[in-house]
Amino acid sequence: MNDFTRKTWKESFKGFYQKYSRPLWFFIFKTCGNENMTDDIFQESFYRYLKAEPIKLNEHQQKAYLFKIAYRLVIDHIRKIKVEQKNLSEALLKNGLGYEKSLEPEITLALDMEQTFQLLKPKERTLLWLAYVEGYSHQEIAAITNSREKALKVRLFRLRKKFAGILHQKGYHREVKN
Amino acid sequence: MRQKHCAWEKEVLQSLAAEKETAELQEHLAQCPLCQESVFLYRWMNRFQSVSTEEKMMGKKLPTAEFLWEKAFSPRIPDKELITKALRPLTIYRFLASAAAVIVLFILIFSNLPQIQSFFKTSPVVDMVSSSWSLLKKAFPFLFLPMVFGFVTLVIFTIITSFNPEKFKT
Repeated sequence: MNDFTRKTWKESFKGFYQKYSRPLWFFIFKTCGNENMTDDIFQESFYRYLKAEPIKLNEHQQKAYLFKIAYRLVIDHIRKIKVEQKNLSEALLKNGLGYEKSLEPEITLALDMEQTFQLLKPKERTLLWLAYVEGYSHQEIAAITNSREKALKVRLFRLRKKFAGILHQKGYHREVKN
Repeated sequence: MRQKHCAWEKEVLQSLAAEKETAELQEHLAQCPLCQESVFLYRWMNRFQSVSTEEKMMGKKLPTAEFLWEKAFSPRIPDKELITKALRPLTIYRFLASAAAVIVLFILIFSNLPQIQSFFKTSPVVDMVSSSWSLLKKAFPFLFLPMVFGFVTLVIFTIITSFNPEKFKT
């Protein structure tokens, strides 16, 4: 890559970063549930993304590529520290995932929603997040998570059923609909 | 067979994201349990995202784009202190090996060249060392070969530990 191209890319990267840094950080955090790990994976994801120099991709593809890197890093980290992760998740669920205990309804709601979301496995959380928050299509999610589209559709269908069941049990159906 | 996917689902979610729900989609939504479930999850997930983003990201500082860019593309300047620290075990052995090589070389020359021996015999200390060495040599004649071998090894070790590749040069 020549200096001019790099300079132009640097400028566009600033805009890209401004737009997607927080969604990415949040995606990682929601999947792994650990703030320090999130910070590490966040930086590593951008580092790998920049090193790969994906300038030929359009913005949407670049975003998908970035999420793909982050997803793989999260899964690798989780595999490495599976036992600690289990203990961590239990501790987080018990202690409220780092949120200050407060009586404010918004925070109580956030905490309750977080605990509900943490009932799912990391991969399940990733799928839901990519489908419903980031708005990716089945094809894109399959590419990010390195799975087959047909299998993913079935998995997402089951997951939707499962999570909707959990939410109904927790009484969320009324609140969200209203 | 149970239906697992609705062809309208993508459009329904897109219209929700764009906040443009057409009458046709609303009509479909009223009849399709799959889309209703998707919409329910979509709303829950986005509510969850907005509620917890506000809480978690408040005061959260992310690194700047500049920082990440520099991290990826700036040539790495090695930290001199870190390099010294990392190479310390080698440096110590390099010094010991050099010192040992000099001593061994000195002993070898001294013990095998009678002219030098006679020159050094003027000093009583050297004379004493020389006599002790001669005694040792007579008692253990096989010492010479291991000494030469040890000397060569030490020289090789000194050369190896003195290896200083370009990337460590600052």
